Amino acid sequence: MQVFIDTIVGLWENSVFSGVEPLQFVMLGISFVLMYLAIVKGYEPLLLLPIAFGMMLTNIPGGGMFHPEFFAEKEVNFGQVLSEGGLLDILYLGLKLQIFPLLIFLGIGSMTDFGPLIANPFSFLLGAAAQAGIFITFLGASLLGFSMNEAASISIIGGADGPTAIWLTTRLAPEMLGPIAVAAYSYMALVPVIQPPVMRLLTTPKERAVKMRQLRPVSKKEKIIFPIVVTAIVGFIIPDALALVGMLMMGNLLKESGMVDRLVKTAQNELMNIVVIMLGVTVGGTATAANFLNLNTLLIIGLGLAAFVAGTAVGVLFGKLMYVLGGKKINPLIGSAGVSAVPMAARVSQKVGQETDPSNHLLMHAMGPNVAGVIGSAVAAGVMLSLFGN
Amino acid sequence: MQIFSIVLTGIAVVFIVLLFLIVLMILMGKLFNTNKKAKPIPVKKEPLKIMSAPEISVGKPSSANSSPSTGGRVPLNGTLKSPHSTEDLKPTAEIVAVIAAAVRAYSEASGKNAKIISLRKRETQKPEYRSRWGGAGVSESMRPFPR
Repeated sequence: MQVFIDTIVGLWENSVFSGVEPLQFVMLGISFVLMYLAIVKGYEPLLLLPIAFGMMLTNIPGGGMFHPEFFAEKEVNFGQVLSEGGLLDILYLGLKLQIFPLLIFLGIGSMTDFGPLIANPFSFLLGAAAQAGIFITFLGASLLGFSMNEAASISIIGGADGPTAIWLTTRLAPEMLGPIAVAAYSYMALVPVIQPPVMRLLTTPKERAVKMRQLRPVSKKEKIIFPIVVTAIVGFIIPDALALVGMLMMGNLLKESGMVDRLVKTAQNELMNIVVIMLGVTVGGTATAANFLNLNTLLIIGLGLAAFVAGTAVGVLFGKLMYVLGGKKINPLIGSAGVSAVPMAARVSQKVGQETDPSNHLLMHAMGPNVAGVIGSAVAAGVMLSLFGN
Repeated sequence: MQIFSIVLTGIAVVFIVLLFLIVLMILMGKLFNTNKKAKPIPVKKEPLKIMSAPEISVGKPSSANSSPSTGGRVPLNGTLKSPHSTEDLKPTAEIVAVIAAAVRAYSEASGKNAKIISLRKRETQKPEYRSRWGGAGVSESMRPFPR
């Protein structure tokens, strides 16, 4: 009988139940909530679902899938990772070496049409204005006690660009990757909820009813030269932003050239899907109880919301400035689309405009600032990296 | 103080870079924009022939020439004259069959009896209509993708 009892006790001590921490159960609960939001509510499911599942995998003790201690030092011991690491350790190398976010940007570029931006280059100003939300949030995060690197990583949530946020956070504050990624993707899904009240508050019905002139047609030559020029200019001025902007523009050039359909189809479909799976589960794998369940996470969630609101507000206010200076021909609502949640923010501009005048179609006009915001947030990330990366 | 200087520097750099891009885009537009205003196509003004609109009924095609006054069927190889167009349309059998099939499908789905009573050719392409390229751009831009 004693042997039987000793065997049962030995099994219990070897199982994970004896070593589990209560906070890990909390993380498992959070992962279930995120799965619910992704599957039932449809909140950015393509990324939130893998993130949630990665979070679940890493918080089941004893699985050995992710070892944060392997990546605590600046120099990674690759031999240790390959010999002793789990699946998420090896996939995390794709994040650590900045491969996954850049490949996603390649895919995004291959799916983006910069025509509305080329037709109306002043949309760049609205894209730039909305990035002021990033720097305002940086100010707030610094005043709340975060370090410069951490504040920069938190503030990039306001760029509403998941790969950019992940790319910068991996470089500047990798320990905050989990909460920042979850906050960034959650708020991107909430753009239709967050933006409209801000837009209505800052504009009058007369301004919202402005109908803009049809955009000029854009030639194929312009669409081919655009990515080359942007890459060269941004690369020369801010080399730290070259990786992001370069991959975005390379994807776009592949699409616009019309000569490499196979590569474009791969970039838009297979490559994106594979990288999204690996990126999502890896980001979720970094969300351990120690990293996620602390006061900083609550502050990150609050600051992320502030970043979105500030970016929307500054974009709309700049749109109002352009409305006044442009002879009342520019609808200020398109300024909110500078928050680069493509194409959701542009759709929100269209929807709010149609609340005032159902015959007002702002979508294509809003797409200009929307895609300009992608470039603007990548430039802002490059600026942050050049200031704090070393 | 350092924080404020970082904020102002960051905003300024982003604006400067994008302003630079704006200037280049404007120059590029002037150099490479090959879309010029088309000269309006001269339309020959002819007195409009007022005639009753022909009908294409959904059913068997008639091999006989139809008379508009009867409101009957139009021969497949005949021409359709519309009082609003200066150009006759000469639909092939396949085109008529496709149109007839579509009208029939609509009739069955809606429960209403529909007839095509005229075919008109659009004389000039108005500049505010979106080109196919623009339409493709709209659909690409509307396509959701993971971020």
